[in-house]
Amino acid sequence: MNQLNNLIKKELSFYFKNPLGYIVVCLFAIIANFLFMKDVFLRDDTSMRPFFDMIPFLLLFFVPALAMRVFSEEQKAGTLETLLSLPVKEEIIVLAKFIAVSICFTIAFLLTLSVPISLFFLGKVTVGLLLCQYLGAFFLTILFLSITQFFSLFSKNQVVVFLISVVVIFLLFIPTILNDSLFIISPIYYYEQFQRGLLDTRALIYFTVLTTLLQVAAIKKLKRL
Amino acid sequence: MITCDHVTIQFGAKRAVDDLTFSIKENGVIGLLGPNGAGKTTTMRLLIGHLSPTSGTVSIFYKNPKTDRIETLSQIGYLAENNPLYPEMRVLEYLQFVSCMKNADLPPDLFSQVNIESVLNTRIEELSRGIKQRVGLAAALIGNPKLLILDEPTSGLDPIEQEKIQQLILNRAHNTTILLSTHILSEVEHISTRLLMIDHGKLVYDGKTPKEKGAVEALFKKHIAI
Repeated sequence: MNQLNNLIKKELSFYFKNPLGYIVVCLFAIIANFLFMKDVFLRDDTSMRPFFDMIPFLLLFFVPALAMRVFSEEQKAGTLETLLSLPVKEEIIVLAKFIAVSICFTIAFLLTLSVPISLFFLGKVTVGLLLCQYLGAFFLTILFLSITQFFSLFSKNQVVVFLISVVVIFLLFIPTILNDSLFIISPIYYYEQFQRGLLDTRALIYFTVLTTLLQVAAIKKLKRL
Repeated sequence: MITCDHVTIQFGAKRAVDDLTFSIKENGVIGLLGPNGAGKTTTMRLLIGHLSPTSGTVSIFYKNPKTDRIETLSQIGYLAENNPLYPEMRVLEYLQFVSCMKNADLPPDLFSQVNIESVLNTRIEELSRGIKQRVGLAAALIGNPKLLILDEPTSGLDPIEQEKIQQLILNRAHNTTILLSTHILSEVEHISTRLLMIDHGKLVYDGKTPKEKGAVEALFKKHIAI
């Protein structure tokens, strides 16, 4: 537990000791807030649906932008060798990096709370629905993060990791965009359940299983490096 | 302590380590000497469990460094080639990080031992190469390891810094096994008690380090195909 905390602290200190963390987190919050707020008075509605409808498209770029470095940078700098020469399990390394980036995005989502707070003064906001929508956004984030983290083990080049991750994540969008019968495999379909305020067991299982499988795959890959 | 038994490592068509057999039981400095590309770094990575042998067996403290990674690494201090450190961290922060990962306290005399007291609050990226090596060595010494594996610790340093690092290594040699890889002949002559010489992945010499001036060079010329 001590090792896990220490590694999370190291990862977080990296993000907040250089501009990358601030830029990605703040830019995400600013763009999300702006895109929603610019039309809020035209809609004459206090629903947060338009806000959460654009979140997957923002996450498509912002998650790989923040997570592309997690292993690729360590491989390029050689520090992964230093880290792996310490008596720490690969599971802890993968989990710590995953938690650290998740914390960054939790901060980014906290910065978007200005939207529902503003709407609260303009009309009625259903807190239960709002929590469910944020939970869906969080599940989507950690799934995209797991995908990027996995691919960051395959290349020392962060740009390559970013592009591969964006393409793979976008491929997961396609069944829903085309309304294809394969929509059942798309995370967007399950994300939609949360947006309707449904805490669907299938959605919870889908995100938990996929994220866990990707974490296990990342651990296996790290053990083979 | 260290046993390599007929170890071979193959990377595609290239045989990086070829039927390597040696065993180390004693404390002191054991020099691993060889030209560039001889297989020194591959051997060291094998010993810390970063690589698996294609054939043969390796054991460190009677354990397999790959399958019993945590148990073996908790008794090893490792300084990698080029000493990769986290540039954004401060020296003290980095050493505290390493001590926490090793579940060990920072030895109270560590900073004075490696002479880094004046740079504890300096960011690693701002340090000179010599001081970075000392920080890497300090990190390797945390947890009082029984085995130190140092991959070219003086490479690229000026003669004064080289001598300082060599002295630090010698100070630990009485109670620690130190496997030191280098291609600097004078270095092994000066500090090692035993010499392992490898060339093209093969062990070509295993014996006491001759202390007469120029004797290591003569051995090197005799055994290494240049």
